[in-house]
Amino acid sequence: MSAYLHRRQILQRLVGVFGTLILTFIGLTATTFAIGRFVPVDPVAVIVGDRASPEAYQKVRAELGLDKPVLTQYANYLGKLVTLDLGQSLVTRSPVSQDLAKVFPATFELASLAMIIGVMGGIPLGVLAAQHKGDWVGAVCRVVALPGYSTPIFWLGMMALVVFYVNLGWASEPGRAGIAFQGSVPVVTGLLTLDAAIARDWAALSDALFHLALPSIVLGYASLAYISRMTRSLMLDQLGQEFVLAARAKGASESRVIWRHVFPNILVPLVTVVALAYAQLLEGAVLTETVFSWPGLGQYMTTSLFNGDLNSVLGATVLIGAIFISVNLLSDILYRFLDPRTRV
Amino acid sequence: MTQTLVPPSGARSSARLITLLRRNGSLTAGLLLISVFVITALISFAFPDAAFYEQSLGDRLLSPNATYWLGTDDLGRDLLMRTIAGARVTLLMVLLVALVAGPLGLLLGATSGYVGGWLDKALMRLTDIVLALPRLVLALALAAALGAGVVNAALAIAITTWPPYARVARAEAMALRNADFVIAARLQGASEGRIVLRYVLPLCVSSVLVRMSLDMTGVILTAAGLGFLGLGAQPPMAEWGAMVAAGRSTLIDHPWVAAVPGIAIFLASLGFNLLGEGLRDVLDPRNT
Repeated sequence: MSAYLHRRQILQRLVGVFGTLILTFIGLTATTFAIGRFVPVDPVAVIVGDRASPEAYQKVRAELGLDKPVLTQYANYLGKLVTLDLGQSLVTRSPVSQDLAKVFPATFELASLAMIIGVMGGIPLGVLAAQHKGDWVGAVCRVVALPGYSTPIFWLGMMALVVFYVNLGWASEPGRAGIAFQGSVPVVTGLLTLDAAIARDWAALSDALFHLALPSIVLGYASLAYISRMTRSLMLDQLGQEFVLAARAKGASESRVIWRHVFPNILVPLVTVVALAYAQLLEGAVLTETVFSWPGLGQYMTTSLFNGDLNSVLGATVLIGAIFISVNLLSDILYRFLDPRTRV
Repeated sequence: MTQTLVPPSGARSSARLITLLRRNGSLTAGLLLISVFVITALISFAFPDAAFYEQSLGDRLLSPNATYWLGTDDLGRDLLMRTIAGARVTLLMVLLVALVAGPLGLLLGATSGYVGGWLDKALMRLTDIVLALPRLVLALALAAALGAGVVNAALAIAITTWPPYARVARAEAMALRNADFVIAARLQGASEGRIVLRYVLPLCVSSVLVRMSLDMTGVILTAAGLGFLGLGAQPPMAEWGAMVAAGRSTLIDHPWVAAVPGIAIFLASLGFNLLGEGLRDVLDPRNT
């Protein structure tokens, strides 16, 4: 193909990807806007009270911008979003975006560690389960993963706390840092482990890791269960194919067959699986952070929920939705990179 | 007239069914668990509502014993009764989600797959967009705005659950688009709408059902999550997720208050999981 046509194709694909991205983002923001706008409680009445005069009511309504057509309101909403203005939190009285910036690193730290556990544990487990499909090893692998995707994550967290913290004393108490270490590390990135390493405060680092251990293992286990299950199913699809038979007939060792012939074929769908697992991880964090008193996005969202702070809830929703969309985009780009067939 | 001994067709098909069940452990186990779940939910109607809310403050936080088989919670309510009541609420939510998301996805997907063209592209874009949105978080935001309650929570979940069904139905419908009987119906003068509704749609139902049963695990867990956060069934109504949340305060000394509803959620969700996997093994020979 000529260079010109090739460039044009890349450009077309970029436009397509970008277009879908914009559309998805519009879908997300339209949904959050609709939820915020069409709340059954009248926001004007909340401010002016029951016995306000019609003029006062109209005045406040105009102030809130509610008398403009819906599309204009939506455009204003989008405009504010672009400048990262997510409104003000009713509880903390500070801008929602500021609150989110404060709590997000904690969740990011937790989710990243959990993701590493999930991927490093889940993929080998899934491959193992696929290799030993008929026998007891495979059955054990499946049984080990089973509670991970069938039990509610918040309950898993609670039971893990009871067993490993209360009864066995192996895990730390809930929270991000011990009482002695609270606020002792200067905030650079917001990631406690990184900041402690930067400050060369090794005691604080080990304390942070000790507190990270149980929540990330619980969330990581849930990820691991999902990833291993999908990996197993993908591997089984491949293992039934003829090229596997051919490789074995040629005398290749089993591990070579598995890892050099079969596994690369599932890398592409596996990227999508990992992206989905990360999304599930974020949702799991929303539910489980309260259990572990983890001061992250999830706890922020649930606290705002209990306090009826809709601005914060919607702001957090937009953030999480944006992360979802970015992760999907990344996996899209990654699998075009991994599968040579999609490049031509 | 010779008399041949032919077993009635009923016996033959039930024998086939039994063989089917015996060969598929997952399917049988799943069906069993779900039957237990449904029966428990139905049993709950045999008791008056008061049985689930009866407090006996002198008997609070008892571990499982002879009178209270699963123990009592912090208000002295019988956990066994509460768990049974919770089954009812969970079943209701599952049914609501299935009845809203299932037909919606089926209709959109089958139409999109059959008609093709720009409608197909537009609907698939819509599916992609909804799929890219965080399900639990959106359900949370929606329930926060609309107010707590079983119906609101179920609707919130259903709104984000239909895309996979649409995808599945679309795949089936696309395969059927050029089937002989469809062409025949068209030649006979059937309108496109009639063809979609009466010919294509029914054939997509089984794939959608398999997908739905696999999905129900996630629905139950999401519903429990919403209940855990206080959206969903409101006290004093019993709901498993809410019961787990209530058990948090007494977690250290009386863990069973939170453990029991969690196990119930696990068993229900596991049942649908096994059912879905079993159905997939049976209906999709590629995977065996």
